[in-house]
Amino acid sequence: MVETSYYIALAGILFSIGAVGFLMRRSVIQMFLCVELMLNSANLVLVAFARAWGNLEAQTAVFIILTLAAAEVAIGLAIIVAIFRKRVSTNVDELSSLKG
Amino acid sequence: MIVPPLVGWLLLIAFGKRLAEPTSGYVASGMILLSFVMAVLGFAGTMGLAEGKQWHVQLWEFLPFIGGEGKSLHMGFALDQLSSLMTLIITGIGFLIHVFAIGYMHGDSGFSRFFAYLNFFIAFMLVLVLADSLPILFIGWEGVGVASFLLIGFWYKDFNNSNAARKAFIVNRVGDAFLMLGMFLLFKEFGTLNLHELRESFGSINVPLVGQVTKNVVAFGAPGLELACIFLLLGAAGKSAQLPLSTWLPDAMAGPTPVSALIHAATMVTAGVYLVARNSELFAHAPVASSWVAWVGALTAVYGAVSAIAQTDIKKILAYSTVSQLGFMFVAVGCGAYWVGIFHVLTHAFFKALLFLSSGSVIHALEGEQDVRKMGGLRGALPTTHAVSLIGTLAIMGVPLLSGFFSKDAILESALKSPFFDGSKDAVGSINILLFAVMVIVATMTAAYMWRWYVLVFSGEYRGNAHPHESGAVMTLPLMILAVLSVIGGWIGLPHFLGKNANLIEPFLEKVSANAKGMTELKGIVEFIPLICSIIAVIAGYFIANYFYRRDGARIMAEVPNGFGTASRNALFLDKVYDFVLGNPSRVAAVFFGIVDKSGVQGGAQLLGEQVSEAGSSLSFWQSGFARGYGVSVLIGTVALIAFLIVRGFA
Repeated sequence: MVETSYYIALAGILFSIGAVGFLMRRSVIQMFLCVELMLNSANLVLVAFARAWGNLEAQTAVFIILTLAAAEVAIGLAIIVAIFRKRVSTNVDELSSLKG
Repeated sequence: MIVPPLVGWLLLIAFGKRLAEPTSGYVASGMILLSFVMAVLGFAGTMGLAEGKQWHVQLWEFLPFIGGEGKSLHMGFALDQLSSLMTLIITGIGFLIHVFAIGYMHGDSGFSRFFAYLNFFIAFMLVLVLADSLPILFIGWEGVGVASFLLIGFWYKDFNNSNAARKAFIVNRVGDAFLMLGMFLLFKEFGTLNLHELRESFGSINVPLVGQVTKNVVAFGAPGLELACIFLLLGAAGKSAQLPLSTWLPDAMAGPTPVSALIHAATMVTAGVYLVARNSELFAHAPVASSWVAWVGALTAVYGAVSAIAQTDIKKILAYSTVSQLGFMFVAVGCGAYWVGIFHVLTHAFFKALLFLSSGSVIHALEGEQDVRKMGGLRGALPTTHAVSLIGTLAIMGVPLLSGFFSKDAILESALKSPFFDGSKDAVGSINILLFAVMVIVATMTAAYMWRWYVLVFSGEYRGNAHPHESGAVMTLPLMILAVLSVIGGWIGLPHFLGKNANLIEPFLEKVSANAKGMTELKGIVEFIPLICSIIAVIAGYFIANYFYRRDGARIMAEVPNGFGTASRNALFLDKVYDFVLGNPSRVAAVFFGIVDKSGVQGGAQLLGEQVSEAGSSLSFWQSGFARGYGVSVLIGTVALIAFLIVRGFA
């Protein structure tokens, strides 16, 4: 059986990639994918610990998160498409008209 | 019965702007006519109703268990002899005045609005008299107050009118506060505010409440009941313009004349008298409060009569006269003669509505002139108006065989018979005689100022420069009907010596009102003293007025008021007293609070606002609008939080 710590390390790596990608990338879609990556790394941690401790509740939580994420992706992509139609651009730095 | 005017009101409020001018008047009048027919049917029904019985409709229950088990307040209406007579007065005279107003308000831009308000008023007045409990009565009470406010300030573009409306509303509010106090106290004492139950709680033993009530009255002592009755009196004084709350009524004449006739002479202002008569059982058991009622009435009668004598506004004379006549009614109900009070309400409604409408007709003919000094000699120009005004004047003066004579005579008689002073069953007390004497003097003054009114308006030569013309049939017809009623209206209450069955109204109303025990019986020649005195009063008043006022026009115009005249014209300076006692302190307080508000409250609020906005703008750079910038913030924050938790330990 694979050690739990490997899963945790993988999740950490995935999370870091997601976080760095979110901060570095300018395309809204890429940023969006990075957010998903971070979310799923958290999921991975959850199932890893669930397996280690033989606990089913965490796995249930993962299913709920996956479902919610699917819904969120649908909305998020819809927003992005709408923005793209309006602005003909997906560069976040140009979308700053609501600044204080 | 209440429904038609309510429907009319809603219709006119909703579609008033779209209806052509006379239509809305017809709609409103038709609704009132419908109500009147219902009132007649109801009246016919109550004729055969036995003593202590009533028709009662309970609609729903509100505030259940407010005072514990079985003590809830109900919403309902009741029809008995007293309320059916009142509904007849309200809808009958209301209908005539509606018809008159179609002519009077011709060409006014607020024509539909006016009729909407009038219907609104009638609806709430009916609620007031048909209420089966005091809270419902209070709803009607407030409703007519609102209607009165709206109609006094009907021509709201003139600042004086809206001020008069506000004054009426505010002065009424003082009385209302006392009425509510009275209700609270009654509820505490009796555990019910249902009028029927209140009445029953004194009479029969079968009502389960009675044992408790008698105990309460004994335990709390009669003062509880007395105090409640005095509160009710003060409430009634507000609505009926009695001293000390009388000052609003003369100002209320700022409204259109049909309003003055309907609300401020015939119906609404008599609500106070109705309130006392409605709670006659309570007052009959509260001799102190009753004598207060009588004396308040007597003083107000004097006050009104004195003030009426030297007024120069055609409507203000009538307004002070109304105040004075309401005083008469209060004397009657304060003396335990409840049917007499309502009888005078009835006859007064006839002749005062008639007089107000006639003066409306005069004002209409003279294109808005209201100063009696610029009238005179209108007998020729306005023959119909002159004839009906003469009848009205004679009726209010108390000329024998006209309606005012019988009711006034009955009031004078009740002043002698009252059991609430020092009179006994066999002898008339000295205070009774004093009250009687005061009322005879007021009756003399009534005759004097009314005859002055007549002389100044109709006889002599015309002193103005308008071109008077008689009003149309829509205005004169109601006048004629009212004139007939003013003549025959008193015949339902003929004095006793004409035979036991001569008086129709007394046995009818006694079925619902209390019999004040211990009325002095007038025997032999004494029985005729009130009658003789009231005839003497009429004659004396007639000669006084003739002596002073039947002179040529130039002298009336040049008349310089002496001390008495000035006092009278200013209504004994009551307004000035109020202004000094209440007005000055509140003006000082207003200035003071103005400063506090400007510097303290407003300054503080502004300072707070400025601080917040400065804080906000100093942080606004953070909202750069760059999503990745926010991402950095989130990351730094999360790292900092986790670092903090690690350093501190996760526990």
